[in-house]
Amino acid sequence: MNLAAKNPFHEAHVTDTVADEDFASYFSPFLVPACKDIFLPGNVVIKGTQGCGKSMMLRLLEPEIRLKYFERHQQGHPEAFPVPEELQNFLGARVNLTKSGLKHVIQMLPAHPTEDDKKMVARSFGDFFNYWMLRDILRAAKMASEHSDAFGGLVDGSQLDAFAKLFCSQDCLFDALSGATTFDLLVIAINDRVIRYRKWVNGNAELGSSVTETRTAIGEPLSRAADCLKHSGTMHAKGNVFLTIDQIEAFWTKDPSSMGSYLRKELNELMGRRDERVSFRLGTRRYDWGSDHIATRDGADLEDGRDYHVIDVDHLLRRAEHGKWPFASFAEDIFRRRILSAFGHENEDTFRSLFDIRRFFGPSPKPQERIESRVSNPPESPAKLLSLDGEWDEPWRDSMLKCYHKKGKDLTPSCSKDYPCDPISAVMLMAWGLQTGGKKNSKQHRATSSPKLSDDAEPWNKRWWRKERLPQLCLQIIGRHNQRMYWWGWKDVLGLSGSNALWFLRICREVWRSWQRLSVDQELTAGMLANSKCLVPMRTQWLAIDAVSSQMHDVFEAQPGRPAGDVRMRFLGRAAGWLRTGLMNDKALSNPGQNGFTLSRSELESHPGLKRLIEEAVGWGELYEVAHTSKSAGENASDPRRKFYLNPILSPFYQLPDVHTKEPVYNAAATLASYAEQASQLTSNSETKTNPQPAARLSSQLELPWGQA
Amino acid sequence: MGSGMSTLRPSGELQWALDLSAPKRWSFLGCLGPESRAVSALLRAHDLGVLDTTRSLLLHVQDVTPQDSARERELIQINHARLYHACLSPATPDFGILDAWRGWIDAFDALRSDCVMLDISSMPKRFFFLYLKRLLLDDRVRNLLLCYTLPARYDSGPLSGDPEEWEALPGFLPEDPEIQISAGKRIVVNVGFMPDGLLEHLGEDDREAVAHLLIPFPAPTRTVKRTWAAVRQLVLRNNPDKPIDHRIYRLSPQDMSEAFDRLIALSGNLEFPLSLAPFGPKPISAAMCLYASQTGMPVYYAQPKTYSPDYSSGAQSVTGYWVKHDGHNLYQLPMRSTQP
Repeated sequence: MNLAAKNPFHEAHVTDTVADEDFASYFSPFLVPACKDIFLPGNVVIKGTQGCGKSMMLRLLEPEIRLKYFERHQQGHPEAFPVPEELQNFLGARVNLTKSGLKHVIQMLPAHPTEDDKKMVARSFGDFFNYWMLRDILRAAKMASEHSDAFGGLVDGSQLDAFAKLFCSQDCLFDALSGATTFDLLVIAINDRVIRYRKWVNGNAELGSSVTETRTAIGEPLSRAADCLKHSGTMHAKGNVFLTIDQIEAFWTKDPSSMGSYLRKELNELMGRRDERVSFRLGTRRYDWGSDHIATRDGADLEDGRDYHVIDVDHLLRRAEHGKWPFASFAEDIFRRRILSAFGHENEDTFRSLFDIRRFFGPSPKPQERIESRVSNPPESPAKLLSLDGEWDEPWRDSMLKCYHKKGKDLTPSCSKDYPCDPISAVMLMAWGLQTGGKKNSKQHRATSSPKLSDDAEPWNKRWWRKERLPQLCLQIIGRHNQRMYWWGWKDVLGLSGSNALWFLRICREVWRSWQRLSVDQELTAGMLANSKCLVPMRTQWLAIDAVSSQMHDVFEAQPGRPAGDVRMRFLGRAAGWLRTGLMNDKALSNPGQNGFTLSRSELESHPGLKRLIEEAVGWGELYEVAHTSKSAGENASDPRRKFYLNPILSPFYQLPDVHTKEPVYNAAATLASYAEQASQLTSNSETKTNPQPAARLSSQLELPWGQA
Repeated sequence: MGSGMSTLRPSGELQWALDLSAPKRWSFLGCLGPESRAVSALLRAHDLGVLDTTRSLLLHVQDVTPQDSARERELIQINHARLYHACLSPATPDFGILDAWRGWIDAFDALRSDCVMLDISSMPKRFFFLYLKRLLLDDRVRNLLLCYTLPARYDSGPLSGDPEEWEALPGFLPEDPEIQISAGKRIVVNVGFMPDGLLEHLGEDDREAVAHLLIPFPAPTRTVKRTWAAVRQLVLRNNPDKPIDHRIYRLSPQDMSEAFDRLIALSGNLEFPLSLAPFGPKPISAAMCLYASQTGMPVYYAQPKTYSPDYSSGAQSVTGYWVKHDGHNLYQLPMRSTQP
């Protein structure tokens, strides 16, 4: 097999934007069982971070995708349409609020709009929405009728004209379509209406009385269309109509004219109708659905569980506190499908390790391996590493030196046999000496006790005490040697992916590309794979992962939003520099969890600019958010907290540990708010990228080794 | 001076351009901003004595996220002082950069005469595209002269930021949704320094898309370097394995006529629908606007919500581009080819 032939991951867009014909070969049905609600009657809001996989789930509702699955299956491909058979009796239609021109309706407001102006625009919006969706329902019905086998006989094409007659006579249409006596004429009439609206929003024509006097109430014609499809015998009596609304974020609830929230209320009205004839599906980013966005026209809020169900894809894939990590299985499946799609089933037995993510990436490094790989020639003296002040007495200094030089008689070194020294034990001992046992104003251990060098020395040499501190310790040791920290191995790859399929695919793509480049003209043989612990060499992986991290920084920077990605990344650059400085300067390793920060609801409310920026950064995936059980029990109910970490894929770029352990930074709101304020000012990208200029959190700030490899 | 395939489309220094036609009184529309060039065309037209001063409008377009407000105010005050010394006091209504178009379109409708100078030098694309389209298609406007002033230099830092989502500019959404889909397969990009949103867009909707990149050339070395950096970014989209299918064309950044003809050629003499992305020099963007206004093709842009107050400094001479003369549209589309 020639590796140079193709990169199975070069189309890294998860399947929400891949061509219809490629969808089936890339799609992983892993999430389908957890997202069954999408295929059942009732409104569904599917939310999650950019790239989490919500759009790919919604694409299963598109008739083109179903048809492609059917055609492939007919040609002998094993994958059938992944929706459970008993749930396949649906017709799907969709609207993208930006691409359809529906968003442009806001432009029709005069300079100083009155409430009446807004109501008129909202009415036109509702009617435009109805006709756009009708257009798509008819397209889906036509396709289903022409490919009856693929759609399980859901639509009877011979009844389409009967449907048209019945539908056109509905009183909710005010005779607007009365001339459309056949299905084909109905399609033309509805399309004409859509075009009239698009002319109107372009400023090329007025709507005219034939439109303004027949404007329909939002949603009603859609329910009637579903009814008529059944009553005319066109669609199976048990068939469902599912309507997807894309880009609901297009209506910004904070726009100054307030028209965005006006139109959101119109859309919410659809959900609040509790009309079982049609069901709506909304894909939305994390913070674009919630308390600020769920009011209906009369001000009442939609109710979760009654008006809609939420599927939180991020939540489905994240690692539970004590349990399995669903994303790991999802990623394995995605990985295998991509390789299969590129190299075919016939190679699966011969090249088994190529199809196995664990063998492909191999094991991730232990902390000592991570350090030893970056500090391959450790200095004879640990002076630079430890930089001890004058308060250390001789026994402590001597013990640390012994640790470093692996001379502790009863101490097993925390390094490989061939590595000349043991920096981990030396730094751990130093950290213990600097700690106070958690009591404020108490003396440090170095002033109250003598160091003990043995395998059972409490607690600095104990497993859990060390485990929580090892990521920070790696950062410090590697950083103090002016080296970059690198990531590799399958566990690192999954960790950096942050339970997000898009980022996982990006890593795979770049690693494969680097591997391919270095293995050019090399014919891959089964023998080559048999004996290696990992297929892709460590160095190839670490450089590729570093490159992906930098690319992702650029990708995030180019994303839109309010504020847009450039502003958010300037904020993150400053915040990351600040966190890193804190971790580097914390010689006692007292705060290993401070690669993130925690903010309470009230802290966010009191800094609205920061709140908006953080919510947008979470929605677009630059920040990773989890609920935080506070140290103070009462606070959890009255003022809940959330922890925020940088997207793990940015860890190599910002040189921060990706592991989340212990307590993050508290009382960070004022500092972060000032960073948010600074981020709104334009600065050179290269300046933000290479020199985040972090503010000093602790007095003795270390210089960051940016750009030094 | 540029010339079209069959129509003379004069453009050149403002006085030279005006002298090609009988004297006229012009109404004037431009933007008042911190750039020095923002008021160059108005002052020059006033010097030449061709301005109907009662029909002059300078929009003051405010950013969503203002940068250095004090610096901006100071620079705008300098421009005000220059107008004051010339005894000019045009109306300067305020609009937000994302305001609905009805308000700012109406603001000029009352002042418009049959001869209109449209100064696009400091005008955001979201505004000048729709103005130009409406003035082009408005039969009451018999003479339309586009003015553009190059600055002495652009700032070396970021010029703009905080872009909106990639979407059709107001007035440039194709009326037929099917055309929107087919136009997505051929995208013409006027390449500039800041391809905001375009990168993201090409990463998403690139199924079978071919990108035709219009590169401004000749240009100062510094500009060429920044433009090519943007080209590289666009073509690779962080995925060297799958660069976008693209063609490159070099165009004079000031030659609106040549750019218009290039667009006609890229459309196969109007056979193929095109999507347009105006990120580069404004005369080329204006050609895109003229093309799209008459063909109904989509124009996409990610409107920045903030601009540097030091976007540019100084001003070179003012160039006038005749778009309509005596009721004749100099940028009329050719007859559509009947060849398959």
